[in-house]
Amino acid sequence: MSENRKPSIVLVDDEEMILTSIRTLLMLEGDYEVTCFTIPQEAARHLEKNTVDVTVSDYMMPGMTGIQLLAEAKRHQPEATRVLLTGHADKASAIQAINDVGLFQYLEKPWDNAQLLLVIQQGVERAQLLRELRQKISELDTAHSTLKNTQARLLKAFL
Amino acid sequence: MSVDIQEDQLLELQRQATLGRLLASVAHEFSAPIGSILSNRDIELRLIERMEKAAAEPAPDRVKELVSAYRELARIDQMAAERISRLVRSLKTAARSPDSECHCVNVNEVVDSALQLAKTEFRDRITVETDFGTLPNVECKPHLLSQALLNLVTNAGQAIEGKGTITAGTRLEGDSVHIWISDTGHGIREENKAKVLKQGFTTKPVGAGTGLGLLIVQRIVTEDHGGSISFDSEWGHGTTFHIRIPLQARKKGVE
Repeated sequence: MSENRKPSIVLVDDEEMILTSIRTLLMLEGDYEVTCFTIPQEAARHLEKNTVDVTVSDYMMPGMTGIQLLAEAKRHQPEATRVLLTGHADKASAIQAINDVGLFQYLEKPWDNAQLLLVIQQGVERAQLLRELRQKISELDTAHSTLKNTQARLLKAFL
Repeated sequence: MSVDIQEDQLLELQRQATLGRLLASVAHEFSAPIGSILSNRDIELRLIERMEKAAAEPAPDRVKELVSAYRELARIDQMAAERISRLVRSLKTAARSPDSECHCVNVNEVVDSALQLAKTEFRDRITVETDFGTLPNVECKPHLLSQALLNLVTNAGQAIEGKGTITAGTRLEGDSVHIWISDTGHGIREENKAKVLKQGFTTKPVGAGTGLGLLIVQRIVTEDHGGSISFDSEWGHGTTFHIRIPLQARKKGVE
């Protein structure tokens, strides 16, 4: 892990019972920092200010759909992983989600715990790799411009 | 080509159509509690395994944490199972097979089940409030009464654009029961009031309404139960439908 922090997971569902189930599963089977929201607007505010590795969101919620929320998540943290967990079995919304918000996984309720754990674990790895990649690219950029400066100075010295 | 459909066949068709339409939203309503229970059963097995391991080690804090997680899951299971059983009860009341006999039933339960079912369609858009009085059992045809109430509550929900409230109440009034369904929707225009209870009247777009809903409510209330129906409405402020049903069934035809 590049940073010294627990992977951060955000769970959003207007049903408290779903949040409790998944939070308990993650407590038992992983070492994650889990933050839960029943109100999607509050989750959106959290995503604006805090680094998150994976967001798992319900689809049908009051005031804001899961796709709208994940679009916000993408805007604030493009490298973070987005997962839709829905009881609203609607293929059109799944396709829309995959295209519009760069969805990593679309899961239906009732879900399988082993599968959900795997998706979250892969989602964390993916988010961290993407962040690392971005870090390396920016290091490469810096190195490249340093090299260019040196080259320019060398040319100046010899010509 | 025209097909002759008898009135009571039409009534039964409309009832089945209403239930059929509700089915998708009711099915969706099951997904959260069922999902939770299924997941919890799996977590509970995982928890037991961890507890066994933790019991063999000197780690009392970990055991405490596991036990409290277990307790929390049991609480969620209880809530989820109760929610499912409420939905099943409502479905049973509304889907009772047609029966020409009268039964003595708790009308508050019939009203509540119609609300629970219709609510699955509105979800969080509409707040449902109840004001149930204490009632004796009423001699009625529960499957028909349930259909009439479902029609009224569905209409109320459709009259509300965006957020709003539906209130349902009951009171004992002498030898009859007064049931009302009130909404904070758009109300009925003055020029339409006289037509509301007439056959085929609807302001809904084609496909959204047949204009039969209220006619069926009226038939169920007056002809099948010897009761009465009325409404008051103010354009822009909502509508209240009142139905009154005698405690004891009057003979068919109300001689």
